[in-house]
Amino acid sequence: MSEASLLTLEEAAHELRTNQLSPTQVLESVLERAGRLNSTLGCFVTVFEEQARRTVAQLERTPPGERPPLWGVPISVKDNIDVEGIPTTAGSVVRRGQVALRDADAVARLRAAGGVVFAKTSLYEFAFGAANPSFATTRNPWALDRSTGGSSSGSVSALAGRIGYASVGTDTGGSIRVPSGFCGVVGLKPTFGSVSTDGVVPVAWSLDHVGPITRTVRDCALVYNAMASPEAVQVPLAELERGVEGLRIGVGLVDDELDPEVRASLDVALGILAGEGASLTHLDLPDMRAARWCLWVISSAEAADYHREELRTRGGDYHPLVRRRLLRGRLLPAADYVRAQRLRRRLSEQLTASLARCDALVLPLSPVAAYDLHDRSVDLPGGVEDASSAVTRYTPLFSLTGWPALAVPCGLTTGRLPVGMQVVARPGREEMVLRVARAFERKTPWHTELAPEVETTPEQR
Amino acid sequence: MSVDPIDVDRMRSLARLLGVDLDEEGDALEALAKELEDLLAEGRVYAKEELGDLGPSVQFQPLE
Repeated sequence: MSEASLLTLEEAAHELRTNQLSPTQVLESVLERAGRLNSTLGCFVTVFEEQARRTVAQLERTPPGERPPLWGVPISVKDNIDVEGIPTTAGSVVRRGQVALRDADAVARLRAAGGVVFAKTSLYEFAFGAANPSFATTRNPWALDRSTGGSSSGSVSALAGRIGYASVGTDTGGSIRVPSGFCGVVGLKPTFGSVSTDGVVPVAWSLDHVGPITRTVRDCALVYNAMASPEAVQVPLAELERGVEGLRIGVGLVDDELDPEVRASLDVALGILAGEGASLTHLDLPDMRAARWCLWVISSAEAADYHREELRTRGGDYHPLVRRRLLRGRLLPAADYVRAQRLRRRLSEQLTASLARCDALVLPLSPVAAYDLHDRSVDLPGGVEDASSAVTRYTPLFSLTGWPALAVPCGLTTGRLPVGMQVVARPGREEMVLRVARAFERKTPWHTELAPEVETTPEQR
Repeated sequence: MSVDPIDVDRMRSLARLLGVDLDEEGDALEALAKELEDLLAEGRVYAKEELGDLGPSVQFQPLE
């Protein structure tokens, strides 16, 4: 592994700004790794080497005193987000060949901060349920036969494979957080609206979020600050180092419904936060099953509206599962959509009341670690459960309410698969989410662990 | 809580009205109908448990 790929984004950015590394060196190192590993991981739909090299050539003319925070840092972008001059496939043959005329807002902001966008990452078709078999299968760098989760599958696979320093993902019901947990990286679903969805192919307009995926919490803050809308509150890095002493942290759903190894990792994580001085309180949270129902109804109906024309004229080009979800949304009674929106408001009120006396909330991300790539169900203490239902057990509530929620690695199973933890705070309080996660990260080694599968190239096997 | 089974032929007619031709095999119509039934049934549970009885939004005065 080249030395540059072992650096965090913050370290790479520092070495770039201080001329210890050049943008060309860093980009070529990333492109070499992408070229070597993409056939194994299937994490990229498109790698645009020449466009990235032109960006770097321009950046290298920036005088030392004028270099922005992400100057020369290679970043990938999920392929449902527009990058000027590059097709946005959204993982579907329905959109193949549709070239973006301009950058999405978040991409433009990252470029303005000096980021070098070099690739589009794989995803579930339209970020809605399953990967289209016309695209390469995305694999988990921790175990190639395990799921990456979805829908931001390529972004997390690339990050865990140490190809690039950050990726931009989207999250409608858990699509940044669940895959980040499965691949042992940090993923932030920020407050609804704090990062613009302009230039992003929608899943469901009232639930879609755009956010950063990185390998460390501090990196996540740096990228969030660069991509957030001007109205959003910036996160000072110094704030992340304040620790959790004196903070009141609510804990929810760390119970016997989790796989025992996931439960054990979370119990240890809670002990670490308590040891750092946080006051932990067990909370009764709103009904997560009701939240998942709301998410299914609202996202299906809103997605069906967006795909109304293509579903009619090109319905056969969709993955059967995605098509069925869209049909479900098309056929749902309007009254049920209204009922789901009413329930959504009620759940939001309940969440606000639950956290009235807490600064943040910690809860599981998924009841299981990454399951077999081909499994459609998972074994849990409560019985066998449909895999897609199981992994969306803990994330929809914060999509519905728009509260910021972060995935941070909190352990490894005995089979060396990552376990993630979810940290949540009130809207606009990204700094609190990141501060709690950073306090935990400082005391644990999980962000420094290397995924084993990417150290061996296919030729070497 | 359950809902009445969805008649697949009527579901197909409704879809056609909306401009979508359902494919008997590709769309696994029985499975789609079952998914919709489950979703609607689950919605009734949460409406009762979480939303409760909101009562009439307008109080009618009996005509004299």
